[in-house]
Amino acid sequence: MKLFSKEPQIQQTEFTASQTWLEEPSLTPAEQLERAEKKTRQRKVIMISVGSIALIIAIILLMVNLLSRPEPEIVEVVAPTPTPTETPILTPLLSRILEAKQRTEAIDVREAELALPQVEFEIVLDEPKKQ
Amino acid sequence: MKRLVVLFSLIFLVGLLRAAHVTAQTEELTPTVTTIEESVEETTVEKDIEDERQALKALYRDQIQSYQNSYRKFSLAKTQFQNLATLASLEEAVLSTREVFSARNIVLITYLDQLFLELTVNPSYDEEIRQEYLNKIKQLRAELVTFNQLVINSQDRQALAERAVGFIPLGTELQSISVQTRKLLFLGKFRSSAGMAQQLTQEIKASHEANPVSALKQGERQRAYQELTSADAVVQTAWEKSVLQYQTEEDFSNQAYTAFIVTLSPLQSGLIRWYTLLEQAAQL
Repeated sequence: MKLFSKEPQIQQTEFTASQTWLEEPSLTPAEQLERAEKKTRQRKVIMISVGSIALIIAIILLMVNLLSRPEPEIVEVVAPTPTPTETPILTPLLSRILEAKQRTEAIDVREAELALPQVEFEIVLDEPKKQ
Repeated sequence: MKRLVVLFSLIFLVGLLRAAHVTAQTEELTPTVTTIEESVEETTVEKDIEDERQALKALYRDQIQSYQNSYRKFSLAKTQFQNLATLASLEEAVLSTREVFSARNIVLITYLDQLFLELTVNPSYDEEIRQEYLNKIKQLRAELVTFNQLVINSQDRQALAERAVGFIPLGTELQSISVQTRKLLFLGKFRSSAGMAQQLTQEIKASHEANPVSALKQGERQRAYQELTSADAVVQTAWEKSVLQYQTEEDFSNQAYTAFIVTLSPLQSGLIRWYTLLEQAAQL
C-alpha cells in the first residue's frame, strides 16, 4: 500500500503539470481529487496486469522444469546398434534367421558321436584244438 | 485467493501427467521382464540336458576303456586255453570271457541311454515313430540288463557259449535301432530347420506388408520372394529323397546308413542357401 501513498503523487502531479495548470483554468478541489483518483486507478490496473504476467511466466517455468527433469527410477541401458542400416522392426527377425542358419550349419552329418560302439559282437570261447 | 487455487490446480495437473507417464513406461517394461524369465527357464533346461549328455559321454568313455582292457585280457586267456588246454587256463578263459561279455553289455546299455536322451531332447521327425523307437530302446535296454545278469551267473564254458548265442539277436536289434535312431535324429533336425525357414519366410512377407516401400524397392522384394520360393522347392525335393531313403531302406548295415547320409548333404546346403536368401530379404 505504500506504493499508492498519496503524498509523492500529489507532488509529482503538481510538478509535471505546472505548465498546463498555468494555461488551463483553475480546477475545483473536487475535480482535482477526481483526476488524482483516476490516475491511481490506472496505475493499479497496470500493476495487476504486470503481476499476473509474472505469475503466468513463473508457472510456465515451473512446468517446464518439472517436465524436463530426468527420471532416476527408470534406467535405460542403450545397447550399441551393430548395423545402423538395419530397420529396427527387422532386427529381431534377422537375429532369428542368423541363429537358425547357425544351427543348420552346425548339423554334422558325418559325425561319429552316436556311432555304434566299437565292440566285438561275436565273442566266442572256442574249444581248444585237438593235438 | 483465486490465483492460488489456479496455481495449485496447475501443479496437481502436472503431477498427474507425470504419474501417468511413469506408469506407461513401467507397463512397457513388464513384457520384457516376462520374456527374460522364460529365457532363463529355457537356458536352465538346456543346461540340465547338456550336463546329462556330458555325464553319459564321460561314463561311456570309461566303460569303453574298461571293455578294451577286458577284451585284451580275454584274448590272452583264450590263446592260452587254446594252446595249453589246462584246467587253470580254462578257468582263466571262462573268467575273462564272462568279464568281457559283461563289459560289452554295460557299454551297450550306456550307448542306448545316449540314444534315448538324444531322441527325447531333439526335434522329432514323426512323433509316432519317435515314440516307437523310444519304446524299442527301453525294451532292448531291459533285455540287455537281464542278459547281463545271466552272463554274471554263468559259471562254465558251456553256459558262456549259450550266452554268446543268446547275444546274437540282441546285437542285431541294437544295430537296427542304432541306425534308425540316428537317421531319425537327422530327419528331425532338418525338418525343424525347414519348418523354421518357412515360418521366417512368412514373417518377412508380413513385415514387408506392414512396411510399404517405393515401387523400385518393391520390385526387389518380389524378386527375393521368387528366389525364396525356388529355395523352398529345392529343399522340398531333397527332403523327399531323404525320407524315401529312410522309409524304403530295410538294410541296417553301415553301408546303408552311409547311403542315407549322402542324401542329407543337398538338403543341408539347400537349407543354408534358403537362410542366406532370408537374411538378404529381411534387409529389403
